[in-house]
Amino acid sequence: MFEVGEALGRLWRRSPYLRTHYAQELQLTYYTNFRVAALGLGGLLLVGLPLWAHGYLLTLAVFVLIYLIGAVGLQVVTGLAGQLSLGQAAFMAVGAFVGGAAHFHLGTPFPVNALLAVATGGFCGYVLSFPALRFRGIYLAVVTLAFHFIVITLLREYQLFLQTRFGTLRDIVLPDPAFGPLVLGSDRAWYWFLLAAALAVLLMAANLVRSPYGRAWVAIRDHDVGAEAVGLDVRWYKRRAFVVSSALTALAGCLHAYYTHTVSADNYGLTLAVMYLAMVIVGGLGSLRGAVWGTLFVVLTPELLSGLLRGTAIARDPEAVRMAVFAGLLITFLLAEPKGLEAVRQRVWNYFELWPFKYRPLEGSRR
Amino acid sequence: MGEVVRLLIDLASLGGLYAFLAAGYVVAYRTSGVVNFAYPACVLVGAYLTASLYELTDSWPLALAAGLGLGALAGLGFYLGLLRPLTGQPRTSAVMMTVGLLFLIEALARLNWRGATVFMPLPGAGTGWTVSGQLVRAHDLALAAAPVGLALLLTLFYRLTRLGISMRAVAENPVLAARRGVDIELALGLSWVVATAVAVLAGVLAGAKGPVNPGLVQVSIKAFAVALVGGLDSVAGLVPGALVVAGAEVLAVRYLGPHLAEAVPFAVLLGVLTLRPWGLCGSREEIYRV
Repeated sequence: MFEVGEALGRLWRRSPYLRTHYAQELQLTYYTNFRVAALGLGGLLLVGLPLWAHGYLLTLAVFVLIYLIGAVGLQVVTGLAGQLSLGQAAFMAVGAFVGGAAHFHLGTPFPVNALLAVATGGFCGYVLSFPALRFRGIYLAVVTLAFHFIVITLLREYQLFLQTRFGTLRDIVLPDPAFGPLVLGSDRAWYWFLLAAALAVLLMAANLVRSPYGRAWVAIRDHDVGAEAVGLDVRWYKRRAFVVSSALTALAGCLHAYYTHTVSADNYGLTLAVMYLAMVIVGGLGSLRGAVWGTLFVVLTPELLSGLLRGTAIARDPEAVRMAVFAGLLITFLLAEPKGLEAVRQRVWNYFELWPFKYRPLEGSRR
Repeated sequence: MGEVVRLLIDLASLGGLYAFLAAGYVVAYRTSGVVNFAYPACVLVGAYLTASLYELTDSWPLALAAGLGLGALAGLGFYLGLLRPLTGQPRTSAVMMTVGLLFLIEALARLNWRGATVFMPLPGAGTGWTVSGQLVRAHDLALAAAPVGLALLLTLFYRLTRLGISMRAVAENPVLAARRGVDIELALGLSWVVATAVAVLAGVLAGAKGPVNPGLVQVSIKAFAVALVGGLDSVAGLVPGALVVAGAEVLAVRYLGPHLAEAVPFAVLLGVLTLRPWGLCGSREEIYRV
C-alpha cells in the first residue's frame, strides 16, 4: 500500500527543481502534473467566465484585459529595460486615434486599423527614443511627460479640425469591429477575443524575456555601464524596448477605442499614465505575472471602493475617487512592498510549499 | 505699439508666475536630488487653503502666516512619512512616490473643494494704469518683481548662511557631508519644508494673476519645464528660463492659437534638453547621461 502511494506521489509531483533533460532547460516554464492540472482548471474558468458573469462584471473583465496589454507594454520598457515612462496614456491615445482616423478617412476594417495602430505606435516609440536615449532616470520621466502633453495637444487639435472641417461630433464614433462576417457585438465576444489577444501578448512577452532581447534589457536595467562593457549595444536595445512597449500600448489604445466606441483626447489624461505606473509597481516591476496581478488589483479596487462608497458624498466624483485610489496604492506599495504583489505571492507560496519547515529553497531554483 | 505693450505685460506676469513656481522645484532638487512632482498639487491646495483662511480671519498677514505654517508642516510630514523611508532605494522610487503624492493630493483637493473657482481679493486688486491703451495692473508688476526677490533671497541664503551652505554640501555629496558633521536629516527636511512653503506662496501669487481653479495644477506642471530649461539646480536660471518659456507660450497663444498653451512649454523643454540637457544655467555634471 505504501509503495503504491509513493509511486503515485512521484508521478504526481514531478520536481521543478531536478532537471533531467536539456529540453527542460529550454522550456518556457516547468510542468508538474499539479501545475498542468491547475493551469487547465484556471484556463477553463477563464474561458467559461462569460457563461456565468454578466453585464457589469463582464465589462470589468474586458477592461482588465485591455489594460493588461498596455501594462505588459509598460512592463517591457520600465520593468525589464528600467526606463521610467510616463507616456503610456499618450501611446494609448495614439493607438486610439490612428484606429479612429483610419476608420474615418479610409474606411478600412478593424484588423487593418489595429495593425496600423500597432505600427504607428511602434513608430512613435521609435521617434520618442531619440530624445529619450540621451537621458536616464528622472530626466527620462520628464521627456516622456513632455511627449505626453505634446501628443495630447496635437490630437486635440486634430479633433477640433475634424469638427470644423467635417462637422463630426465632439468625439469620433467607431462601429463594432468585424473580422469579415464575425462581429464583436457583445461583451461576451469581446471577452473571448481579448482573452486570446492578451494571452498571445503575454506569451510573446514571456518569450521576449528569455530571448537575447530580454536578457539585454535586464542587464541594461541593472547596470547600463556594465551592459555596455560586456558588448551590448545599449542604445539599440533601449530603442527596441521603446518600440515594443509603445506598439503594445497603442494596440491597447485601439482596442479601448473600439470597445468604448469613442475616440477622444479627454480619455487619455495623465491619470491613465499614473494608473499604468501603479499597475506595474503594485504587481511587481519586471515580472509579467506581476503585470497581471497589478492590473487586476488596480482596475478592480476603485470599483470595489466606489461600490462601498455608494450613496455617500464622496461618491459624487468617481474620477477623483479613482485617482486617489491609484495614487494611494502606488504610495502604499512603494512604502510597504516595493517588489509588489508577485513577491507577496512568492512568499505565501514558499511558506506553504516548505511547511512545516522554514528555510527557503535554493535561490533561483523556482522559475 | 499697443500690441507690443500687451505682449510685454503678458510676458512679465506669466514669466513672473512661472519663475516663482519653478523656484519650488529648484529648492527641493538642489538638496535632495529628487524632482518633486507633488509640487503642483501643493500649489493648488496652498492657494485654496490660504483663500479659506483669509475668509476665516479677514486679514492677509494672518492668513498668509497660517498658510505658510501649515505648508511647512505638510512638507515636514512628506519628508518624514513618505520620502525618508525610501532612503537607499533608487531615486526613481522617490520620483514615483512624488508622482503618487501629486495625484493623491489633487484627488483629495477635488473631493474637498469640488473644483471650485476661487477669486482672491488680494490687496491692490483694483489698482492699474493705462499704457498705450493697454491696462497694466499693479499685480502684473508684483508678479514680475516677486521671483526676482525670491531668487535674490534664495541666493543669499545658499551663499551666506551656514544652513544654506550645508544644504549645498548635502546636494553635492551626502555621505561626505554627513562625515563632516552636517546634519543631513535637517538639511533634507528643511528643503522639503521650504519647497512646500514656497508652494503656498506661489499659490497666493497665482491668485494675483487670476482666479484659482484646478487648472493651476497644469500651470505648475508647465513651470516644471521652466525649472528644467533654466537648470534644475540653478537659482540664477529661474528668470531666464521663465522668460524663454513664457515668451514662447505668449507668442504661440497670440499668433498660432490658444490651444497650444498646453504644449509649447514642453516643446521648448524637449528642444533645450536635447541641445543643452543641463539647462541654461545649470551645472553640467548634474546630468545622468548614457
